[in-house]
Amino acid sequence: MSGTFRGRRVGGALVLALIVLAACSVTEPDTLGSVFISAPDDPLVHFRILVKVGSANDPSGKDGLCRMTWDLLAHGGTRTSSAAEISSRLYPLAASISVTVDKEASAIAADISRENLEAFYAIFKEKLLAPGFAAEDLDLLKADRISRIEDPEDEANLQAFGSAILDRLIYEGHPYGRPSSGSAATIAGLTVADARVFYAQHFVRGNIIIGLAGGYPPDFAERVVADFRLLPAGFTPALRLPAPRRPAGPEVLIAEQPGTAEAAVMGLPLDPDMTEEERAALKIAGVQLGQDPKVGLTPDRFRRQRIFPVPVAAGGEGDPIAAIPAALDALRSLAREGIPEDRFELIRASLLNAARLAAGGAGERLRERLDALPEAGEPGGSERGRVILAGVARSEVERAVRKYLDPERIRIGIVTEDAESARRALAAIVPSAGVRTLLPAEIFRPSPEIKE
Amino acid sequence: MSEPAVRFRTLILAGVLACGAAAAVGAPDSGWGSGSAALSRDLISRMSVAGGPAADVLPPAAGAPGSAWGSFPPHASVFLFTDRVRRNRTPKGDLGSPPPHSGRGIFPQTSVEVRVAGLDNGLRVVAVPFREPDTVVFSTIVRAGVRNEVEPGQTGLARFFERLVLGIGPQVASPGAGGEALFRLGAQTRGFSTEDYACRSVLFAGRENLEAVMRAEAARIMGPRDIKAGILALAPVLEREARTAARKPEVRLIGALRNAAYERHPYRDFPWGGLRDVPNAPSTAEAARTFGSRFYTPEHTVLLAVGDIVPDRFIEMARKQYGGWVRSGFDFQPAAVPPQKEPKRAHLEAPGTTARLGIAFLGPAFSDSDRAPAALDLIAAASFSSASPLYQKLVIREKRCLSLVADFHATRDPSLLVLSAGIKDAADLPAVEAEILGELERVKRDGLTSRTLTEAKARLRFALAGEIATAEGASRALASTVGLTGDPGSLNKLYALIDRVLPSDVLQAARAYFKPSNSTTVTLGPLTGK
Repeated sequence: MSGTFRGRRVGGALVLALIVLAACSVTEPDTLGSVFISAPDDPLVHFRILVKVGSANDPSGKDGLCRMTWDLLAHGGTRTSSAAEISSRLYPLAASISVTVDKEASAIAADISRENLEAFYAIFKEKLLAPGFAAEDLDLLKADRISRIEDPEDEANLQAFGSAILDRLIYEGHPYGRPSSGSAATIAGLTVADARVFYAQHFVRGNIIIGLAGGYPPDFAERVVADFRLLPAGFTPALRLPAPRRPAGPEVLIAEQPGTAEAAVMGLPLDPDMTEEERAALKIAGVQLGQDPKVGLTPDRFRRQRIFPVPVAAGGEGDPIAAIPAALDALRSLAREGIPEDRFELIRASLLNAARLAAGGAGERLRERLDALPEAGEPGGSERGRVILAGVARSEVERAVRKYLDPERIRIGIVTEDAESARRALAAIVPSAGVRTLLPAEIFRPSPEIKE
Repeated sequence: MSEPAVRFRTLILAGVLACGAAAAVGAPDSGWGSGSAALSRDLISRMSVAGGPAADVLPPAAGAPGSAWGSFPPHASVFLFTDRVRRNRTPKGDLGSPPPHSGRGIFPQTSVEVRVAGLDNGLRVVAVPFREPDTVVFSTIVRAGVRNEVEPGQTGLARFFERLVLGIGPQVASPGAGGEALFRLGAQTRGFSTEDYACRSVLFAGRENLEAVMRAEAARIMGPRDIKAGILALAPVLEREARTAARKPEVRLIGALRNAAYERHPYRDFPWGGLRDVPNAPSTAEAARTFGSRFYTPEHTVLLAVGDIVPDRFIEMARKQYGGWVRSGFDFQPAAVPPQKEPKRAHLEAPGTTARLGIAFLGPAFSDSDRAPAALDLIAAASFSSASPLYQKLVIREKRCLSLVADFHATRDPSLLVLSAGIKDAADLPAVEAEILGELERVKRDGLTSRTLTEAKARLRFALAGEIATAEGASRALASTVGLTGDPGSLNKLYALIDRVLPSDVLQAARAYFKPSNSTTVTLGPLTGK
């Protein structure tokens, strides 16, 4: 029976064994940060290297450079090994390295079986600390990105495409208005020199928080920190974010792309200064409207400003534009009539129970701790969030809705292959809306994350 | 929906299935040609799963009437993720053959003792306590799919029932009936389906909530159904989904491959082509009632709970909630897949889209005891992965292909092994086809080196390690094999089997299955003159 797990008993042991060794908040701006969560029974080791720069840090005219630079680290070669050689070394380890880039931060992450930890870390360290920046790697990644952007058959990311259009509408003239993945034109213009400079400027100690969780050996975390301390000192100052603009009426932005399926995405910018209690109240409002409970309304390192998404055609079936009136009616009804007591209680209970799930494994805890803003208080946002949520009253939900979710200022992003038809349909649905259509050359389409 | 499931299985069990079988083994063929020449060497495909529990109906508990499959122990245990199998209480269990060898398991450091019980009505209950405090995944696996649509007028019924009863839609399973109870618990529902089975899962926090979840889920599957209203409501939705899917070039390609390869077997209609009869609601209602009463029954169902559970209590709750469910006793006879005797070929005209190539080989059914499927799986992993020389050449260096993928589809009846490529320039279609076939010829001639084979085995093993690190992942991995065999021990057997594959097995499998007479080729794109 040795070597086997026995339900609750072992589960309890795991809880006890889950030791947070350190959660070093960064006190000096150019100090390397670190978060370690040791879970000796976890068969995996989870890496998450958080870099405190994102697409909003792309130089002017070089949209997509941040993403391309981190993609080169994750998927390209090193100073001593080609990408092909590294790919063949990673293959038997079943290891993949993922890159997430959002407005103000990025994460380079990997999960690896602890049996393969040493072999994997040797490669991972080399990739991040001694990247090769080979021209052929860049060419391959550029071609891949551009083909995904230009290929109208790629519908997997349709919703993300719609969200990017909404970002563009809401954050026009704001640092968040830049496309995270770049456009075909800006990607085509990126060079190895651009990536080298971006890496040298931003992959520096003060921008990096090393996240490590799972079943790593006792001395491993110290080794990783020692390796990353070799990076140059320095940091990138946090962006100064203006408040999103507040237009007088509804606005629509249409992206026309031949052959694409249709998407409609609606939302409103959240006031950056709202309280945690107000955000919790809006979370309940969002679920009442059909939002996925996992939608994040809380600012984090990736975005200090958030959008309140208004769900359209929940379930993803049917004609998205035809579903807009029902979604708007639901929002108007919520603003006008509030939320029934029994429904309010049900949603709050649901969110409180769901938060227990969110606090699951070591990898998920790492992500939560690492991504949270330091000013969000004690790391471990879900526990704090549960306490706040439990204290929210129905009247607070109604007050927050009236204060922040004005249906007459709704923003709508549309992806369609027929902009003129969409324009006509929207004129009937939101007659007072300002409607603009993006020129084909202005369209950027987010592309999926690359995996090994 | 099927797509996530397909992706999942490709990742975890990649190729795990397919090809068992006493196939004609001989010298490599060399007559690929353009696909027009019919080579006459037959592939002898098998309809049974060698040594595995291929039973259509789960065996009833010991002593229960109507069993054609021998007795099944009322309680048994299996150590999952190791290759050790232990029987408990009943010496003549049906949990599988004794382990072929003892010693190091697949993941001995994370092994889990699984409890299995069979109820008198044929329902099988699998309890997997798992190290993830406060998390439980409860799944209902109905072992029916398009495979069971063998009678005229039945196409689309499996999908209809998956949606009506299990709530499995394009993205996720919907909470549906009993939804408020699940919603209050903050539960998340998931679902996927294959040709052979459908799986609905509820992920929630707190073992104290398991009974409430089971009550809601039991009511969903055992409760009364308004078939007529369901058809009227769902037929347009299913049709729209099928139409949307049919616009996708990759779906068209796979659909054409299946239609050609399976011809008259119901697998031809998976995943989106089998809706011909559903829109005809009035005449379909009776067929739907019949389908439901035959297959949405306890002997076709497995309950699986993974996570923070007490196995004995879970089994007792299952007995209480599902014990009154009445078995149908219907004797289902699956359709046969005849051996393929000549190469098949088709071209789909699709101007303005990326050119695509699909080459499918008809192999045998899923097996957890035959080395041939595992060998073919390893060939796919070694010869068509992103680290393979062919991928590096076609995708990375020459940039002629946008993608190159090998996909084994795990099925209870003979499976298709599909090699597909997205091609930048349609004029390159013939050249890329020649490159792929050339690689297969090379494997038929030289096999895989010992190092390549070892690396491919490691790849599959550690991919599984990543998947089973969470209760949800372990549940999906288990469901994928339980859906095929009904046996939670299949996962162990499968990976033990992969570990035992020898270079000679690789040669034998390649020569048996990579034959022109056993292939179906579909190209998609502008006309290429072929």
